[in-house]
Amino acid sequence: MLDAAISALGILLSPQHFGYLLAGTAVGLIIGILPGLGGMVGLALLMPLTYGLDPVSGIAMLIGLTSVTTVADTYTSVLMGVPGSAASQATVMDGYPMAQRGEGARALSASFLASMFGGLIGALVLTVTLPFAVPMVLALGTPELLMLTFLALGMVAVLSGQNPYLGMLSAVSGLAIGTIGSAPSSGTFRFTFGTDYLLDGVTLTSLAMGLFAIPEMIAVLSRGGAIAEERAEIGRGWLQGIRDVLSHKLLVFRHALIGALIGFLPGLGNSIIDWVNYGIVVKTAKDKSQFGRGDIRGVIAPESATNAKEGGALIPTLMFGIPGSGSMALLLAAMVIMGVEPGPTLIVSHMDLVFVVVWSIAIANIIGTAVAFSLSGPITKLAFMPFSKVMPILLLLISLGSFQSSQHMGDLAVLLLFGVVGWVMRRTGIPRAPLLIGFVLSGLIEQYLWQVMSRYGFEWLQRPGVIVIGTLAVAAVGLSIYSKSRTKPRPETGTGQESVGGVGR
Amino acid sequence: MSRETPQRASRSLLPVWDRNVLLGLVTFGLLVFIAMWLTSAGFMPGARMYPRFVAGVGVLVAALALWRVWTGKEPRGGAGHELPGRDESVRDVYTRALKLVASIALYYLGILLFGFVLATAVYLVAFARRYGESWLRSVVVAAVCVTLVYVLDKTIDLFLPKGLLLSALF
Repeated sequence: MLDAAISALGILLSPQHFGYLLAGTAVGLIIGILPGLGGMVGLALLMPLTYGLDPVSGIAMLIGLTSVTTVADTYTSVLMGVPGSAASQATVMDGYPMAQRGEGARALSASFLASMFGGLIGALVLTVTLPFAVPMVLALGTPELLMLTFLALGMVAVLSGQNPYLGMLSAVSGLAIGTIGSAPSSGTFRFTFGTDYLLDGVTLTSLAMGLFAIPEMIAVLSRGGAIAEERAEIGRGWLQGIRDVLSHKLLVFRHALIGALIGFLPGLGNSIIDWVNYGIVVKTAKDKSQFGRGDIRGVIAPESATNAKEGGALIPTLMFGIPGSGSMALLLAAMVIMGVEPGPTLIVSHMDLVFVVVWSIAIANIIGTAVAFSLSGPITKLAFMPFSKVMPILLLLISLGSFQSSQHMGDLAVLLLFGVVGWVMRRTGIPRAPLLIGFVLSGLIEQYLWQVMSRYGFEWLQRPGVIVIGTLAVAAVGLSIYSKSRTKPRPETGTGQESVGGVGR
Repeated sequence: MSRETPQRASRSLLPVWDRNVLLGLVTFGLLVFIAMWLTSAGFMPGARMYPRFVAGVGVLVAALALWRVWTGKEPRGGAGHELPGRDESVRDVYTRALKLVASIALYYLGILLFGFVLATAVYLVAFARRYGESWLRSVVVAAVCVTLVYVLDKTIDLFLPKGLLLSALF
């Protein structure tokens, strides 16, 4: 494994691959700064560029992007009180009051550094799990993998957002959209409505950008285009922020571990992670008096946790080919496009690629943090740019990217259709991430289902592993629905991003 | 299903407009899953099993969701972006959103007819003017963006639609 790690680092540091990593990191920073847009939109934007790329370059670019969006999204949270993405909602609680009293720089520097350490610890967690991965994935047959996929999809459906039944409807809708086109087992064309465009099914890029990018534009501009009415100055305290993180090392470590653990569980995305960690830091602090008024611990804890999530979320994605969040679904799809099949084969035969992922997270976090520190002035100006100036350029890029997926006007029609659907889902509280994950998993589930039914009939349901995972699935979904029906609803706080990463991841 | 009552409507945290849209969307979903179940009966066995499975689960879940929305038990968190009961005219939001969607649809129609470059230039200028930019600034921004797209097209072999009308003319 050490050989694979060293070899992966060597490959990644070659000029071409490193260039793609830098490009992904730069796009991630810009996307993270723009309020409402996050890693998912960035991934969807860059996906068309990965067609034809070698896997290392493509993976480095995409991982570079996803690793730093949560570093950059802090600007608007701290300076404007508007979460840059779902991952920085809790940061507003103490970051914005700090900026209001002239300590914006302190909050930002603490946040950047905590994010970086969180990201590095997340990468470490991913590395530590790898030795256990090979025997675990080899022990699972197709029936167990099918049930595991149901477990993950079920958890994503009921845990993303506050409406489990609507989440389930969203996930099943994604599965249904995935049935459009040619049937893998027989080649029969299904639900194509006589159009040539649908013979290959709906394109993932158009669907993802439609669901996550267009609704953000519509939402901001339909409210008049203003992101925030007030903003604070960046203020002072860059060095103090660094000292704060160094004096709260254990806090960073503890919350990064919690973040990685939550990231591992499908369905528990950024907005859950940051609030859970904020809740824990408040609950465990001796002096709670300053929380909500500008306590630096309220910035450090959620920021280190949300960035550590990436490492945890990659574990099921890489090991089983089961994404636990929308951004992981896109990453998985992009890897498949590049000819890399996440899952047991990847873990057993291509460990070097797995380490490319690990190194990309680590290096992107370090570079992202360095850029966030050194270019804070211009970056802040970008964050304050009115959305009406950014929107047409984004629409241009999104349309261009969407059109490249199959070079058919149908791509743009799908983009707009799902843009409207996504906006309605966003407004009415239907989580969008389950739809995307259902769509990405649809082909895999059909393939698994066909294999197990052909080989075992209904007897696959009697296998011990299937019974255990199935019981877990029913218990997890049932308990989640029960606990959600018992808790009081909370209003969303700002970005319209559901818990499974939403746009943020 | 019992009649809609003001109590049920008010139990939901959504504004009435959003709630009606949600009810419509979930009902549409239910109908689509029923149609999917019926249509997939005509496929070959290998192609039929999975859509029927999805449609069956879909009908069940959509019916449950419809019941939850109808009785006001979902959605529980209000709208995704806007705080429930926020002081805004929901109707205005829908109107503005509709106008924006219509403008994007026109842009795509323009791409279909006149090609990507021309339609994009016109859209960028029109959009910038709509949001109060000067003519000069609007044209400069559009020119820079279109030039960048053109350079990308030439350097990384992007495919840009030429437009039906322009293709027919030239």
